[in-house]
Amino acid sequence: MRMSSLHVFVVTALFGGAAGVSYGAELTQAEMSKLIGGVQKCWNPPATSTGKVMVSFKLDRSGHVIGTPQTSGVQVSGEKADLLAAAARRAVLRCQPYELPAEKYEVWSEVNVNFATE
Amino acid sequence: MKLKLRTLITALFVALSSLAFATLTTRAEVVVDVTKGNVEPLPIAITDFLAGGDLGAKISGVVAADLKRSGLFAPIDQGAFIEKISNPDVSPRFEDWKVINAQALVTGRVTQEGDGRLRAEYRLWDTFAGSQLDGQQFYANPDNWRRIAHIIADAIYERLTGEKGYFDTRIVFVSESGPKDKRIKKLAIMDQDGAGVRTLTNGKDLVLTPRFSPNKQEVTYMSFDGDKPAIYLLQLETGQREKVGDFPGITIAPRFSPDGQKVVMSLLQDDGSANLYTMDLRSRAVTRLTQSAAIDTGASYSPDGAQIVFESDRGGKQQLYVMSAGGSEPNRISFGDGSYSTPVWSPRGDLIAFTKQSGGQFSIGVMKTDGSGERILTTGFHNEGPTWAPNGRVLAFFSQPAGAEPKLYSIDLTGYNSQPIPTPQAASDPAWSPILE
Repeated sequence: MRMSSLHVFVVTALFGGAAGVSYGAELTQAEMSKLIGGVQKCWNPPATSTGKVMVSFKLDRSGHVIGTPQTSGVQVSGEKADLLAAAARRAVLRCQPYELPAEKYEVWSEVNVNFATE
Repeated sequence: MKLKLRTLITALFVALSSLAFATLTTRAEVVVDVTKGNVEPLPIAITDFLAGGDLGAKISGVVAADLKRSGLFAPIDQGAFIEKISNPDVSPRFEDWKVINAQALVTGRVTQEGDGRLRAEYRLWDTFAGSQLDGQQFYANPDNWRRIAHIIADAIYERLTGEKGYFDTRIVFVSESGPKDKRIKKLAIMDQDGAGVRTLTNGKDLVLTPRFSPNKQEVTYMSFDGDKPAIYLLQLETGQREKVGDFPGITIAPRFSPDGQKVVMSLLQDDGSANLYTMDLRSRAVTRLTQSAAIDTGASYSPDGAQIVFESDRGGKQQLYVMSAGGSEPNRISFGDGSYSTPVWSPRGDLIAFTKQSGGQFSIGVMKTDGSGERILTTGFHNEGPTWAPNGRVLAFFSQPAGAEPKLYSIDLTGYNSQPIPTPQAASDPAWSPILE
Protein backbone atom coordinates (compact mmCIF):
# COMPACT_ATOMS: atom_id res chain seq x y z
CA MET A 1 0.00 0.00 0.00
CA ARG A 2 2.78 2.34 0.92
CA MET A 3 4.73 1.41 -2.22
CA SER A 4 1.67 2.16 -4.37
CA SER A 5 1.36 5.65 -2.91
CA LEU A 6 4.99 6.40 -3.57
CA HIS A 7 4.67 5.05 -7.09
CA VAL A 8 1.75 7.36 -7.80
CA PHE A 9 3.68 10.31 -6.48
CA VAL A 10 6.70 9.55 -8.66
CA VAL A 11 4.59 9.16 -11.80
CA THR A 12 2.80 12.41 -11.10
CA ALA A 13 6.05 14.21 -10.52
CA LEU A 14 7.65 12.75 -13.63
CA PHE A 15 4.82 13.73 -15.95
CA GLY A 16 3.94 16.95 -14.32
CA GLY A 17 0.58 18.52 -13.70
CA ALA A 18 -1.42 21.47 -14.93
CA ALA A 19 0.41 24.72 -15.74
CA GLY A 20 0.67 27.01 -12.78
CA VAL A 21 1.27 24.16 -10.34
CA SER A 22 4.62 23.62 -8.63
CA TYR A 23 5.79 20.19 -9.76
CA GLY A 24 7.73 19.74 -6.60
CA ALA A 25 4.59 20.52 -4.63
CA GLU A 26 6.89 21.77 -1.92
CA LEU A 27 6.18 25.48 -1.99
CA THR A 28 3.13 26.61 -0.12
CA GLN A 29 0.44 28.56 -1.92
CA ALA A 30 1.62 31.73 -0.18
CA GLU A 31 5.20 31.14 -1.34
CA MET A 32 4.03 30.50 -4.90
CA SER A 33 1.91 33.66 -4.83
CA LYS A 34 4.91 35.63 -3.64
CA LEU A 35 7.01 34.29 -6.51
CA ILE A 36 4.30 35.03 -9.08
CA GLY A 37 3.77 38.50 -7.67
CA GLY A 38 7.51 39.12 -7.71
CA VAL A 39 7.74 38.39 -11.43
CA GLN A 40 4.40 39.94 -12.31
CA LYS A 41 5.26 43.39 -11.02
CA CYS A 42 8.08 43.58 -13.59
CA TRP A 43 6.12 42.06 -16.51
CA ASN A 44 5.68 44.99 -18.86
CA PRO A 45 4.71 43.34 -22.15
CA PRO A 46 5.12 45.39 -25.33
CA ALA A 47 1.88 47.30 -25.97
CA THR A 48 2.15 46.32 -29.61
CA SER A 49 2.42 42.54 -29.07
CA THR A 50 0.13 39.82 -27.83
CA GLY A 51 1.16 36.22 -27.27
CA LYS A 52 2.91 33.79 -24.97
CA VAL A 53 6.48 32.90 -24.09
CA MET A 54 8.15 30.66 -21.50
CA VAL A 55 11.27 31.79 -19.65
CA SER A 56 13.46 29.21 -17.89
CA PHE A 57 16.13 30.22 -15.41
CA LYS A 58 18.16 29.01 -12.49
CA LEU A 59 18.42 30.76 -9.16
CA ASP A 60 21.23 30.79 -6.66
CA ARG A 61 20.54 30.41 -2.97
CA SER A 62 20.18 34.18 -2.53
CA GLY A 63 17.40 34.28 -5.17
CA HIS A 64 19.52 35.83 -7.91
CA VAL A 65 19.27 34.61 -11.50
CA ILE A 66 22.28 32.56 -12.62
CA GLY A 67 23.34 33.30 -16.21
CA THR A 68 20.94 34.35 -18.94
CA PRO A 69 17.28 33.29 -18.77
CA GLN A 70 16.31 31.11 -21.74
CA THR A 71 13.12 31.69 -23.70
CA SER A 72 11.12 29.09 -25.60
CA GLY A 73 7.66 28.45 -27.01
CA VAL A 74 7.12 32.01 -28.23
CA GLN A 75 3.61 32.29 -29.63
CA VAL A 76 3.56 35.52 -31.58
CA SER A 77 4.22 36.18 -35.21
CA GLY A 78 7.06 37.94 -36.97
CA GLU A 79 9.50 40.43 -35.52
CA LYS A 80 7.41 40.83 -32.40
CA ALA A 81 8.51 37.40 -31.18
CA ASP A 82 11.92 38.82 -30.26
CA LEU A 83 10.32 41.78 -28.50
CA LEU A 84 8.02 39.60 -26.42
CA ALA A 85 10.89 37.27 -25.47
CA ALA A 86 13.13 40.22 -24.56
CA ALA A 87 10.40 41.77 -22.41
CA ALA A 88 9.89 38.46 -20.58
CA ARG A 89 13.63 38.01 -19.96
CA ARG A 90 13.81 41.60 -18.74
CA ALA A 91 10.94 41.00 -16.30
CA VAL A 92 12.79 38.05 -14.76
CA LEU A 93 16.03 40.00 -14.45
CA ARG A 94 14.49 43.22 -13.17
CA CYS A 95 12.66 41.67 -10.25
CA GLN A 96 15.47 39.54 -8.84
CA PRO A 97 16.38 38.62 -6.17
CA TYR A 98 13.36 36.45 -5.37
CA GLU A 99 12.64 35.93 -1.71
CA LEU A 100 11.96 32.24 -1.24
CA PRO A 101 12.47 29.94 1.78
CA ALA A 102 16.14 28.96 1.98
CA GLU A 103 15.35 25.50 3.32
CA LYS A 104 13.43 24.71 0.13
CA TYR A 105 16.16 25.79 -2.27
CA GLU A 106 16.18 22.43 -3.99
CA VAL A 107 12.56 23.03 -4.97
CA TRP A 108 12.94 26.51 -6.46
CA SER A 109 16.47 26.32 -7.85
CA GLU A 110 14.98 26.10 -11.36
CA VAL A 111 11.96 28.11 -12.42
CA ASN A 112 9.85 28.18 -15.57
CA VAL A 113 7.60 31.17 -16.03
CA ASN A 114 4.87 31.08 -18.67
CA PHE A 115 4.29 34.72 -19.60
CA ALA A 116 1.18 35.70 -21.51
CA THR A 117 -0.26 39.03 -22.50
CA GLU A 118 -3.87 39.67 -21.62
CA MET B 1 12.67 -18.79 -1.32
CA LYS B 2 9.54 -17.22 -2.75
CA LEU B 3 9.37 -14.93 0.26
CA LYS B 4 13.04 -13.98 -0.11
CA LEU B 5 12.55 -13.10 -3.80
CA ARG B 6 9.52 -10.95 -3.00
CA THR B 7 11.48 -9.18 -0.25
CA LEU B 8 14.32 -8.58 -2.68
CA ILE B 9 12.02 -7.15 -5.35
CA THR B 10 10.34 -4.96 -2.78
CA ALA B 11 13.66 -3.67 -1.52
CA LEU B 12 14.86 -3.01 -5.05
CA PHE B 13 11.69 -1.11 -5.94
CA VAL B 14 11.89 0.99 -2.79
CA ALA B 15 15.54 1.74 -3.56
CA LEU B 16 14.75 2.74 -7.16
CA SER B 17 11.80 4.81 -6.08
CA SER B 18 13.91 6.58 -3.48
CA LEU B 19 16.56 7.26 -6.10
CA ALA B 20 13.95 8.64 -8.47
CA PHE B 21 12.55 10.81 -5.70
CA ALA B 22 16.00 12.07 -4.77
CA THR B 23 16.70 12.91 -8.42
CA LEU B 24 13.40 14.71 -8.69
CA THR B 25 14.07 16.68 -5.57
CA THR B 26 17.42 17.94 -6.78
CA ARG B 27 16.05 18.68 -10.26
CA ALA B 28 12.79 20.17 -9.06
CA GLU B 29 11.32 22.95 -11.10
CA VAL B 30 8.74 25.49 -10.20
CA VAL B 31 6.35 26.34 -13.03
CA VAL B 32 4.23 29.44 -12.77
CA ASP B 33 1.90 31.34 -15.08
CA VAL B 34 2.07 35.12 -15.25
CA THR B 35 -0.74 36.60 -17.28
CA LYS B 36 -1.38 39.93 -15.63
CA GLY B 37 1.08 42.38 -17.07
CA ASN B 38 1.62 46.03 -16.38
CA VAL B 39 1.37 47.65 -19.80
CA GLU B 40 3.24 50.80 -18.95
CA PRO B 41 5.39 53.12 -21.03
CA LEU B 42 8.89 51.64 -21.33
CA PRO B 43 11.40 53.62 -19.23
CA ILE B 44 14.13 54.76 -21.63
CA ALA B 45 17.21 56.90 -21.02
CA ILE B 46 18.05 59.24 -23.88
CA THR B 47 21.41 60.93 -23.40
CA ASP B 48 22.39 64.15 -25.11
CA PHE B 49 24.21 63.33 -28.32
CA LEU B 50 27.84 64.37 -28.19
CA ALA B 51 28.33 67.49 -30.32
CA GLY B 52 30.36 70.66 -30.47
CA GLY B 53 27.48 72.99 -29.54
CA ASP B 54 23.96 72.51 -28.28
CA LEU B 55 22.80 70.54 -31.31
CA GLY B 56 23.30 67.19 -29.57
CA ALA B 57 20.94 68.18 -26.77
CA LYS B 58 18.42 69.56 -29.26
CA ILE B 59 18.38 66.32 -31.24
CA SER B 60 18.03 64.10 -28.19
CA GLY B 61 15.30 66.45 -26.93
CA VAL B 62 13.24 65.93 -30.10
CA VAL B 63 13.83 62.15 -29.97
CA ALA B 64 12.68 62.05 -26.34
CA ALA B 65 9.62 64.22 -27.06
CA ASP B 66 8.59 62.02 -30.01
CA LEU B 67 8.87 58.81 -28.01
CA LYS B 68 7.07 60.31 -25.02
CA ARG B 69 4.18 61.60 -27.15
CA SER B 70 3.64 58.09 -28.51
CA GLY B 71 2.56 57.01 -25.04
CA LEU B 72 4.66 53.84 -25.30
CA PHE B 73 7.84 55.25 -23.76
CA ALA B 74 8.71 57.14 -20.60
CA PRO B 75 11.98 59.05 -21.08
CA ILE B 76 13.85 59.25 -17.78
CA ASP B 77 14.79 62.68 -16.41
CA GLN B 78 18.43 63.30 -17.30
CA GLY B 79 19.01 64.51 -13.73
CA ALA B 80 18.78 60.87 -12.62
CA PHE B 81 21.57 59.69 -14.93
CA ILE B 82 24.63 58.30 -13.12
CA GLU B 83 26.99 57.64 -16.02
CA LYS B 84 28.01 60.54 -18.22
CA ILE B 85 28.53 59.18 -21.72
CA SER B 86 31.82 60.48 -23.06
CA ASN B 87 32.33 57.97 -25.85
CA PRO B 88 29.22 56.53 -27.51
CA ASP B 89 31.34 53.93 -29.31
CA VAL B 90 32.03 51.94 -26.15
CA SER B 91 29.58 49.93 -24.08
CA PRO B 92 27.97 51.93 -21.30
CA ARG B 93 28.11 50.83 -17.67
CA PHE B 94 24.87 48.87 -17.74
CA GLU B 95 24.63 48.63 -13.95
CA ASP B 96 24.42 52.44 -13.74
CA TRP B 97 21.42 52.40 -16.08
CA LYS B 98 19.70 49.42 -14.48
CA VAL B 99 19.83 51.17 -11.11
CA ILE B 100 17.66 53.98 -12.48
CA ASN B 101 15.37 51.39 -14.16
CA ALA B 102 16.32 52.43 -17.68
CA GLN B 103 15.25 49.42 -19.73
CA ALA B 104 16.67 50.91 -22.91
CA LEU B 105 19.42 53.47 -23.42
CA VAL B 106 20.12 55.78 -26.37
CA THR B 107 23.55 57.29 -26.94
CA GLY B 108 24.80 59.21 -29.96
CA ARG B 109 27.03 61.75 -31.58
CA VAL B 110 26.61 64.57 -34.11
CA THR B 111 29.50 65.78 -36.23
CA GLN B 112 29.86 68.03 -39.25
CA GLU B 113 31.33 66.48 -42.39
CA GLY B 114 33.84 68.23 -44.64
CA ASP B 115 31.08 68.95 -47.16
CA GLY B 116 29.03 70.74 -44.48
CA ARG B 117 26.50 67.97 -43.94
CA LEU B 118 25.58 66.75 -40.48
CA ARG B 119 26.38 63.20 -39.57
CA ALA B 120 24.24 61.86 -36.72
CA GLU B 121 24.84 58.40 -35.30
CA TYR B 122 23.08 56.65 -32.48
CA ARG B 123 23.19 53.40 -30.57
CA LEU B 124 20.29 51.73 -28.80
CA TRP B 125 21.17 49.48 -25.84
CA ASP B 126 19.23 46.85 -23.93
CA THR B 127 20.48 47.57 -20.42
CA PHE B 128 19.21 44.37 -18.78
CA ALA B 129 20.55 42.10 -21.54
CA GLY B 130 23.76 44.17 -21.62
CA SER B 131 23.80 44.34 -25.39
CA GLN B 132 23.43 46.75 -28.31
CA LEU B 133 20.07 46.48 -30.04
CA ASP B 134 20.65 48.84 -32.93
CA GLY B 135 23.05 51.41 -34.30
CA GLN B 136 22.70 53.62 -37.36
CA GLN B 137 24.00 56.84 -38.82
CA PHE B 138 22.30 59.46 -40.96
CA TYR B 139 23.46 62.42 -43.02
CA ALA B 140 21.53 65.60 -43.67
CA ASN B 141 21.74 69.29 -44.33
CA PRO B 142 22.17 71.12 -40.99
CA ASP B 143 18.79 72.82 -41.56
CA ASN B 144 17.19 69.39 -41.40
CA TRP B 145 18.41 68.48 -37.92
CA ARG B 146 14.82 68.03 -36.71
CA ARG B 147 14.17 65.50 -39.47
CA ILE B 148 17.27 63.57 -38.41
CA ALA B 149 15.90 63.49 -34.87
CA HIS B 150 12.50 62.25 -36.10
CA ILE B 151 14.17 59.57 -38.24
CA ILE B 152 16.19 58.36 -35.24
CA ALA B 153 13.03 58.33 -33.10
CA ASP B 154 11.31 56.26 -35.81
CA ALA B 155 14.19 53.77 -35.83
CA ILE B 156 14.09 53.41 -32.03
CA TYR B 157 10.29 53.10 -32.04
CA GLU B 158 10.43 50.40 -34.71
CA ARG B 159 13.17 48.42 -32.93
CA LEU B 160 11.37 48.49 -29.59
CA THR B 161 7.75 48.03 -30.71
CA GLY B 162 8.06 45.97 -33.89
CA GLU B 163 5.90 48.54 -35.71
CA LYS B 164 6.81 51.29 -38.15
CA GLY B 165 7.30 54.72 -36.65
CA TYR B 166 5.39 57.84 -37.68
CA PHE B 167 7.54 60.71 -36.41
CA ASP B 168 9.14 61.74 -39.70
CA THR B 169 5.78 62.87 -41.06
CA ARG B 170 3.82 66.05 -41.51
CA ILE B 171 0.26 67.15 -40.98
CA VAL B 172 -1.59 69.48 -43.31
CA PHE B 173 -4.54 71.28 -41.76
CA VAL B 174 -6.80 74.32 -41.96
CA SER B 175 -5.52 77.22 -39.86
CA GLU B 176 -8.42 79.40 -38.72
CA SER B 177 -8.58 82.96 -37.45
CA GLY B 178 -10.98 85.90 -37.23
CA PRO B 179 -14.61 86.27 -36.20
CA LYS B 180 -17.23 83.74 -37.32
CA ASP B 181 -18.74 86.00 -39.95
CA LYS B 182 -15.33 86.84 -41.42
CA ARG B 183 -13.49 83.64 -40.78
CA ILE B 184 -10.11 83.31 -42.48
CA LYS B 185 -9.13 79.74 -43.32
CA LYS B 186 -5.65 79.04 -44.62
CA LEU B 187 -4.10 75.79 -45.67
CA ALA B 188 -1.08 75.11 -43.41
CA ILE B 189 1.47 72.37 -42.89
CA MET B 190 3.71 71.36 -39.97
CA ASP B 191 5.75 68.47 -38.61
CA GLN B 192 3.61 65.92 -36.76
CA ASP B 193 4.77 67.36 -33.43
CA GLY B 194 3.58 70.87 -34.30
CA ALA B 195 6.98 72.30 -35.24
CA GLY B 196 7.75 74.23 -38.41
CA VAL B 197 4.27 75.53 -39.21
CA ARG B 198 3.98 77.32 -42.55
CA THR B 199 0.90 78.46 -44.42
CA LEU B 200 0.29 77.30 -47.98
CA THR B 201 -2.52 79.65 -49.02
CA ASN B 202 -3.06 83.32 -48.31
CA GLY B 203 -6.49 83.09 -46.71
CA LYS B 204 -8.26 84.99 -49.47
CA ASP B 205 -10.26 81.92 -50.44
CA LEU B 206 -11.87 79.51 -48.02
CA VAL B 207 -10.19 76.09 -47.92
CA LEU B 208 -11.56 72.79 -46.65
CA THR B 209 -10.73 69.08 -46.41
CA PRO B 210 -7.04 68.92 -47.37
CA ARG B 211 -5.74 65.37 -48.07
CA PHE B 212 -2.18 64.16 -48.64
CA SER B 213 -1.06 62.27 -51.68
CA PRO B 214 0.10 58.78 -50.59
CA ASN B 215 3.36 59.02 -52.52
CA LYS B 216 4.11 62.62 -53.47
CA GLN B 217 4.58 65.94 -51.75
CA GLU B 218 1.17 66.94 -53.00
CA VAL B 219 -2.12 67.86 -51.36
CA THR B 220 -5.67 67.87 -52.70
CA TYR B 221 -8.26 70.12 -51.09
CA MET B 222 -11.44 72.03 -51.68
CA SER B 223 -11.40 75.75 -52.25
CA PHE B 224 -13.41 78.41 -54.02
CA ASP B 225 -13.02 79.45 -57.59
CA GLY B 226 -14.90 82.72 -57.29
CA ASP B 227 -18.15 81.68 -55.63
CA LYS B 228 -17.96 78.09 -56.76
CA PRO B 229 -16.18 75.43 -54.71
CA ALA B 230 -13.79 73.22 -56.62
CA ILE B 231 -11.06 70.70 -55.97
CA TYR B 232 -7.39 71.59 -56.34
CA LEU B 233 -4.00 69.93 -56.27
CA LEU B 234 -1.12 71.76 -54.63
CA GLN B 235 2.55 70.83 -55.09
CA LEU B 236 4.14 71.45 -51.71
CA GLU B 237 7.67 71.99 -53.00
CA THR B 238 6.83 74.42 -55.80
CA GLY B 239 3.56 75.92 -54.55
CA GLN B 240 2.04 75.19 -57.96
CA ARG B 241 -1.77 74.94 -57.80
CA GLU B 242 -3.98 73.16 -60.29
CA LYS B 243 -7.75 72.66 -60.51
CA VAL B 244 -8.91 69.03 -60.70
CA GLY B 245 -11.31 68.89 -63.63
CA ASP B 246 -14.01 71.31 -64.63
CA PHE B 247 -17.27 69.91 -63.45
CA PRO B 248 -20.70 71.43 -64.05
CA GLY B 249 -21.55 71.24 -60.33
CA ILE B 250 -19.82 71.67 -57.01
CA THR B 251 -17.14 69.12 -56.10
CA ILE B 252 -16.26 68.37 -52.48
CA ALA B 253 -14.46 65.89 -50.19
CA PRO B 254 -11.56 64.77 -52.40
CA ARG B 255 -9.19 61.96 -51.52
CA PHE B 256 -6.36 60.24 -53.39
CA SER B 257 -6.38 56.59 -54.40
CA PRO B 258 -3.59 54.57 -52.71
CA ASP B 259 -1.44 54.67 -55.87
CA GLY B 260 -1.86 58.44 -56.09
CA GLN B 261 -3.11 58.18 -59.67
CA LYS B 262 -6.74 59.07 -59.02
CA VAL B 263 -8.81 61.41 -56.91
CA VAL B 264 -12.23 60.31 -55.68
CA MET B 265 -14.66 63.12 -54.90
CA SER B 266 -18.31 63.98 -54.50
CA LEU B 267 -20.19 66.02 -57.11
CA LEU B 268 -23.24 67.94 -55.93
CA GLN B 269 -26.03 67.98 -58.47
CA ASP B 270 -28.87 70.38 -59.14
CA ASP B 271 -31.47 68.07 -57.61
CA GLY B 272 -29.65 68.18 -54.28
CA SER B 273 -28.14 64.75 -54.59
CA ALA B 274 -24.42 64.05 -54.58
CA ASN B 275 -22.62 61.15 -56.19
CA LEU B 276 -19.09 59.83 -56.13
CA TYR B 277 -16.74 60.22 -59.09
CA THR B 278 -13.10 59.51 -59.74
CA MET B 279 -10.74 61.41 -61.96
CA ASP B 280 -7.60 59.83 -63.36
CA LEU B 281 -4.93 62.48 -62.83
CA ARG B 282 -3.00 61.48 -65.96
CA SER B 283 -5.73 60.95 -68.53
CA ARG B 284 -8.25 63.25 -66.82
CA ALA B 285 -10.86 60.57 -67.48
CA VAL B 286 -13.84 60.89 -65.15
CA THR B 287 -15.77 57.84 -63.91
CA ARG B 288 -19.05 57.94 -62.05
CA LEU B 289 -19.13 55.46 -59.15
CA THR B 290 -22.56 55.84 -57.52
CA GLN B 291 -26.04 56.41 -58.96
CA SER B 292 -27.99 57.67 -56.01
CA ALA B 293 -30.68 60.22 -55.29
CA ALA B 294 -29.08 60.66 -51.87
CA ILE B 295 -25.92 62.44 -50.74
CA ASP B 296 -22.91 60.16 -51.16
CA THR B 297 -19.68 61.74 -49.99
CA GLY B 298 -16.54 61.33 -47.82
CA ALA B 299 -15.04 58.50 -49.87
CA SER B 300 -11.85 56.75 -48.71
CA TYR B 301 -10.04 53.87 -50.41
CA SER B 302 -8.87 50.65 -48.77
CA PRO B 303 -5.04 50.46 -48.82
CA ASP B 304 -5.12 47.86 -51.62
CA GLY B 305 -7.32 50.15 -53.70
CA ALA B 306 -9.97 47.45 -54.16
CA GLN B 307 -12.73 49.00 -52.03
CA ILE B 308 -14.11 52.37 -51.02
CA VAL B 309 -15.88 53.36 -47.82
CA PHE B 310 -18.17 56.38 -47.98
CA GLU B 311 -20.99 58.06 -46.13
CA SER B 312 -24.51 58.26 -47.51
CA ASP B 313 -27.99 59.20 -46.32
CA ARG B 314 -29.61 56.83 -48.82
CA GLY B 315 -31.13 54.92 -45.90
CA GLY B 316 -32.59 58.10 -44.37
CA LYS B 317 -29.68 58.96 -42.11
CA GLN B 318 -25.92 59.34 -42.68
CA GLN B 319 -24.36 55.89 -42.45
CA LEU B 320 -21.22 54.20 -43.72
CA TYR B 321 -21.16 51.98 -46.78
CA VAL B 322 -18.42 49.88 -48.38
CA MET B 323 -18.41 49.13 -52.10
CA SER B 324 -15.95 47.92 -54.71
CA ALA B 325 -13.63 50.58 -56.10
CA GLY B 326 -15.64 50.42 -59.33
CA GLY B 327 -18.81 51.34 -57.47
CA SER B 328 -20.59 47.98 -57.34
CA GLU B 329 -22.11 46.15 -54.38
CA PRO B 330 -22.50 48.91 -51.81
CA ASN B 331 -23.13 47.44 -48.36
CA ARG B 332 -24.09 49.37 -45.27
CA ILE B 333 -21.65 48.66 -42.43
CA SER B 334 -22.73 51.06 -39.64
CA PHE B 335 -25.85 50.27 -37.63
CA GLY B 336 -25.37 51.96 -34.26
CA ASP B 337 -27.48 54.80 -32.86
CA GLY B 338 -26.91 58.21 -34.41
CA SER B 339 -25.24 59.11 -37.68
CA TYR B 340 -21.79 58.29 -39.05
CA SER B 341 -19.56 60.39 -41.27
CA THR B 342 -15.96 61.11 -42.42
CA PRO B 343 -14.89 57.46 -42.75
CA VAL B 344 -11.17 56.82 -43.24
CA TRP B 345 -9.69 53.42 -44.02
CA SER B 346 -6.69 52.47 -41.83
CA PRO B 347 -3.32 52.14 -43.58
CA ARG B 348 -3.19 48.62 -42.08
CA GLY B 349 -6.45 47.81 -43.86
CA ASP B 350 -8.22 46.29 -40.86
CA LEU B 351 -10.20 49.23 -39.45
CA ILE B 352 -12.25 52.23 -40.52
CA ALA B 353 -12.18 55.38 -38.40
CA PHE B 354 -15.24 57.64 -38.36
CA THR B 355 -17.04 60.54 -36.73
CA LYS B 356 -20.26 59.56 -34.97
CA GLN B 357 -22.95 61.99 -33.93
CA SER B 358 -25.24 60.68 -31.23
CA GLY B 359 -27.03 62.13 -28.23
CA GLY B 360 -25.87 65.66 -29.04
CA GLN B 361 -22.20 64.67 -28.92
CA PHE B 362 -19.56 63.88 -31.48
CA SER B 363 -17.29 60.88 -31.11
CA ILE B 364 -14.26 59.55 -32.93
CA GLY B 365 -14.37 55.78 -33.26
CA VAL B 366 -13.15 52.79 -35.21
CA MET B 367 -14.85 49.66 -36.52
CA LYS B 368 -13.78 46.64 -38.52
CA THR B 369 -14.30 46.91 -42.25
CA ASP B 370 -17.44 44.77 -42.06
CA GLY B 371 -18.88 47.14 -39.44
CA SER B 372 -18.35 44.85 -36.46
CA GLY B 373 -16.32 45.67 -33.36
CA GLU B 374 -17.22 49.35 -33.13
CA ARG B 375 -15.16 51.17 -30.48
CA ILE B 376 -15.49 54.81 -29.48
CA LEU B 377 -12.09 56.38 -28.76
CA THR B 378 -13.16 59.82 -27.58
CA THR B 379 -16.37 61.81 -27.19
CA GLY B 380 -16.96 65.53 -26.86
CA PHE B 381 -19.04 68.54 -27.84
CA HIS B 382 -17.57 68.54 -31.35
CA ASN B 383 -14.90 66.03 -32.38
CA GLU B 384 -14.53 65.43 -36.07
CA GLY B 385 -12.39 64.43 -39.02
CA PRO B 386 -10.11 61.55 -38.03
CA THR B 387 -6.92 60.94 -40.01
CA TRP B 388 -4.55 58.02 -39.58
CA ALA B 389 -0.83 58.22 -38.89
CA PRO B 390 0.91 56.11 -41.55
CA ASN B 391 1.56 53.23 -39.12
CA GLY B 392 -2.15 52.86 -38.35
CA ARG B 393 -1.67 53.10 -34.57
CA VAL B 394 -2.42 56.78 -33.95
CA LEU B 395 -5.20 59.06 -35.17
CA ALA B 396 -5.40 62.86 -35.34
CA PHE B 397 -8.67 64.78 -35.32
CA PHE B 398 -9.99 68.19 -34.39
CA SER B 399 -11.98 69.00 -31.31
CA GLN B 400 -13.99 72.11 -30.56
CA PRO B 401 -15.42 72.49 -27.06
CA ALA B 402 -18.59 74.61 -26.73
CA GLY B 403 -17.79 78.27 -27.31
CA ALA B 404 -14.10 77.61 -27.90
CA GLU B 405 -11.81 77.46 -30.90
CA PRO B 406 -11.11 74.17 -32.67
CA LYS B 407 -7.79 72.47 -31.91
CA LEU B 408 -5.96 69.41 -33.15
CA TYR B 409 -5.45 66.27 -31.05
CA SER B 410 -3.91 62.87 -31.48
CA ILE B 411 -5.09 59.67 -29.82
CA ASP B 412 -3.86 56.09 -29.70
CA LEU B 413 -5.89 53.37 -31.36
CA THR B 414 -6.59 51.98 -27.89
CA GLY B 415 -8.38 55.21 -26.93
CA TYR B 416 -5.60 56.23 -24.54
CA ASN B 417 -2.98 58.94 -24.72
CA SER B 418 -5.04 61.80 -26.13
CA GLN B 419 -2.63 64.67 -26.71
CA PRO B 420 -3.08 68.17 -28.10
CA ILE B 421 -1.04 68.97 -31.20
CA PRO B 422 0.09 72.56 -30.72
CA THR B 423 -0.77 75.06 -33.46
CA PRO B 424 -0.29 78.83 -33.38
CA GLN B 425 -3.94 79.49 -34.23
CA ALA B 426 -7.22 77.60 -34.22
CA ALA B 427 -6.98 74.51 -36.40
CA SER B 428 -9.28 71.96 -38.03
CA ASP B 429 -9.40 69.28 -40.75
CA PRO B 430 -6.01 67.59 -40.16
CA ALA B 431 -4.58 65.16 -42.72
CA TRP B 432 -1.53 63.07 -41.88
CA SER B 433 1.18 62.58 -44.50
CA PRO B 434 2.82 59.29 -45.35
CA ILE B 435 6.39 58.75 -44.05
CA LEU B 436 8.59 61.31 -45.79
CA GLU B 437 11.04 60.04 -48.39
